[in-house]
Order: sequence, then structure tokens, then C-alpha cells
Amino acid sequence: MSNIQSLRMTRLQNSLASALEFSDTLENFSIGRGEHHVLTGGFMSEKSTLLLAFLGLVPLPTGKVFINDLDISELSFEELSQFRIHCGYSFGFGGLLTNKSIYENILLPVEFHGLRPVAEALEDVAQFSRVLKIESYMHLRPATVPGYVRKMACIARALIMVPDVVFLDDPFGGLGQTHRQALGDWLFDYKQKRLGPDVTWVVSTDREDAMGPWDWTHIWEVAVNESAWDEAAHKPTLFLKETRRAA
Amino acid sequence: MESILAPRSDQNWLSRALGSIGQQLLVRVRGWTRLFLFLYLALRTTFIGRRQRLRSILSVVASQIYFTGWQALPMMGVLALATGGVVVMQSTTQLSLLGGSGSSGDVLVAVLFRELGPLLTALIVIARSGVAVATEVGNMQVNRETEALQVMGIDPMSFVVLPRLLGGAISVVCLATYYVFISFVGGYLAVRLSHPVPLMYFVDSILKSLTTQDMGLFLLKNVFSGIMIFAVACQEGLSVGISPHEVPQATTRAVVRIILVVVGFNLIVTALTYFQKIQELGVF
Repeated sequence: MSNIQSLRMTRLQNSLASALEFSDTLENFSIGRGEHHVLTGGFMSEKSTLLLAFLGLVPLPTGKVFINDLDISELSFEELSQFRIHCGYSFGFGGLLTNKSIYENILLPVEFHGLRPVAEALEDVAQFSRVLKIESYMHLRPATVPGYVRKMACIARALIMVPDVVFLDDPFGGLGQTHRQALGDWLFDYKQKRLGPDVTWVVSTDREDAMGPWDWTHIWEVAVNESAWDEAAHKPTLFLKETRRAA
Repeated sequence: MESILAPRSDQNWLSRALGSIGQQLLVRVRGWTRLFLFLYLALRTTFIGRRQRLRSILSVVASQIYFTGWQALPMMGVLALATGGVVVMQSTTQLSLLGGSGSSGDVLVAVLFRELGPLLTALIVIARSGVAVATEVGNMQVNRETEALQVMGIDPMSFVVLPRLLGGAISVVCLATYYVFISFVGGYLAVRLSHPVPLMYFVDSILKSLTTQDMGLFLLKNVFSGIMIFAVACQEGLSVGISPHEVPQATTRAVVRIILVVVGFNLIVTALTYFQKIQELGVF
């Protein structure tokens, strides 16, 4: 199956729920293979919406999303699924199946799609749980475990398929200093040793500091534009600007 | 200038009434179209989603059969014994007065096998599982579980809806069969209280009354109920947005719609069957 080489959003002015307004430079929001993008911004700044839009989970009234130069709005669920199974997505909150244990949740995409040997995936799960210290919670259901376990399980599930593109929505939100540090270190280690340089990372976070050692290629800021007020949405318009780019 | 309080002409009243009926009709037609489209999409994934593992889906089917079928057996047993006994006691009394005690087998088959079996089973399944599935799927929406399935490339129609349709239909057919068997047992026990009727005579009178058409109708009613209960429950569950307050509203809507669909279908099938029988007897 085709790997994901590029992701691109075009002409997204005033397209999202809260009238996200892109600056001119973002007429084409392109993400290439192996690039590391981070979206920063405050609460309710639509960072998650942008990530979901890349996977076709948020309908866009204007503008288009392209994966490998294919317009995803023209793909059927099955065609889009062929790309989705090469992406790992971790939700900021929720997203784990409540009637399955943490262990079953992490293994679900592997067991369902059968694209990866289960034995190999089990080794990864054992490593996740050992390093992230969630072994004792693995056979419990999400409702009965602490929030940080749910968060880490969601991230582990996003990585279990060894994806081409990793989307992490607010991976450090709600975590204490210790867990934040442990997760940041483990993610960096996993990226370097397991996934390699060709994997694309798109992370939304307001904790840029927790991902210190990462070599970000692009850092974007999603923020409220105080000077512009959207009458229809009864809230300020938002804008996305690139704050830093690696040389 | 015409006063706004002036009576409107008959023509206006008629056109408004017709417009209102037409609108209501369109709403119904749209509702049914959406339901059948939903069913089509659920079944379509079975044939298209070849990559999607059957094992994962079958485990959900098995759980659905366990919750809908197996766990309802004690309740169905009690209900079947009671209704079987009541129907036999009432029918034998009334038929004896009319001199038709020989046709008690026909009455049992008509009432328990053809009518009460499918209808009561459906109502019990709606109360137990229809509500549960609508709530479960609604909560899945709120917890972003269906969204999570989609980002993993798993179609909620094949992972959530289809197994519940299959499991539900199998459970309803099995439960209705169980209901009929236990209600006949209840009927026999009730008969034995007043008359020393041999078991073989009782069984023989029922078997003689059963026709292939009865069995076909029994299967049709139960398969339809099974599929509709879970299709509507899933459809309403999936209509929930991100707020938990929508879950009970969707559940209530689901129950009302399911009852209307199931009872309506049973009524239509029964009416058509009886009209056909009456025609065969030469009444029309």
C-alpha cells in the first residue's frame, strides 16, 4: 500500500468552526515526509481541529486537504482508510474504547488490520508498558485507570502500527512533571530508535518545553486575533502563523 | 385591506392541509430512506472491507448474542410460561363454551407462534437491548470512540453496527423460538391442571396446526424485528454529537421509533395473512 509522502491543506480561510483565518503564507499548509511540525496555541485555539481535518474527520466548508496530492474529499471511506492505517492519531482526551482493556485498546489496530505480526507488536506493547510504568493497568478498562494511563495508552496505540505520520493532539496535557518528562524522553527515544527519520510528526501542544530535544522543522502558533471579531461566530477570529522554521 | 383575523377561504385551508400532509409524508419517506441507506452501508462494509479482520467482528457478534439472547433467557422463560398458561386457560374455556375444544391447537399456533411470540420477544429485546445499544453507541460518540475507530481506518459501520445487527437478528430468532417452546410447555401445564390430556395428544394437535407458511412468517417477523431494533438503535446512537445530554434523548427517540416500526410491521404482516385466509375461505 502506498506510503504517505505529503500532506497539504489549501485555501482554508474562515473554514473551520471558529472561523480560523489563515495568513497569506498559509494558503498552502504543506507537510513533507520526515518533517516535524508543532502547533502551539492556547485552549480552544482549534489545534485539534486542524489535526482532525488532515484525516478527513472534520468537514471543511472551504479549502481542501490533500494526501499524496489526492483530494481526500473525493475519496470513499475505504480509500481514505488505506491512508488512515498509515497514520497514528492520539486524542487529547477520550478515544479509547471503554469496553476493552488498555491492552486490547493498544493492540486493536494490529489485530484488526493484520498488517503487522502480532508477536512483534506484543514486544512493543511490553516495552511501552515497562518504560511508561503502566504495566499494572494493562488489563483494566479505561474508566478504572488514572488519566495519565489513558493518555499514554492512546499514544501507544497511535504508534503501534509503526505509522508514516504521527499526529499527537496535546500529548502532555494534564500530565504531571514526572510523567511529562518520562513521556517526552520515551517519545524522543522511540522516534530515534524505532520509527526513524522518514516518519512525519505533527504535534499540537502548549508544552513545547516538554519536547526540548526534538529537531522541529516548523513551529506554528494558533492564536486568537484580538483585533478581529467574527460576528457570526460571536468570538474573535483566529490565525495561524509560522513562528520558527529550521534552517 | 384584508384583516388578518378574517376567515381564510376553503381553498387556502385545503391547500394548507394537503401541504402539511405532504410535508409529514416527506419526513417519513426521508426517515425510511435514511434507515435503509444506513442498513445498506452496514452490509456493504462486509463485502468491501476485505482487509478488515472477521475475527474482531465475530467477537462483537458473540458478545451481542450473549447480552441480547443468553441473558434474556430467564426473563423470557417466566414470560413464556405465564402467557402460555393464560392463553391456554382462556382459549380452552371459551372454545368449550362454543363447542370448539378440538381446535385449541390452531388457537395456540395462531396466538403464541404467529403473533405473541414475535411481538413479545421484540418488545423484550427493545426494552433490554435496544435501549442498551442506543445508549452504548451514543456514549461511544461522546467519548470519541467512533472517531478513534475512523482514524485507525476501522469503519464503525463494520465494527460497531454490523455485528450488532447480526447478533441482534440471531438472538431475536432464537429467543422467539425459545419463547414459543416454553409457552407451549406452560400451556400444557395449564391444561393438565384441569384435564388429564396426554402429552403426545397436545404435541400432535400443535404440530398438525403448524404450516410452512406459519414458519415462514415467524422467521420473517423475527428477522425483520431483530435487524430493525438494532439498526434504529445504532442510527440514533450515532446521531449523538459530543454532549452527554444528547444520549438519553437519542435513546428515547430510538425506543419510540423501534416500537412503531416493529409493531407496524407485525400488524401489516398479520393483516395481509388474514385477508388472504379470508379470501381463501371465499368470504370476499
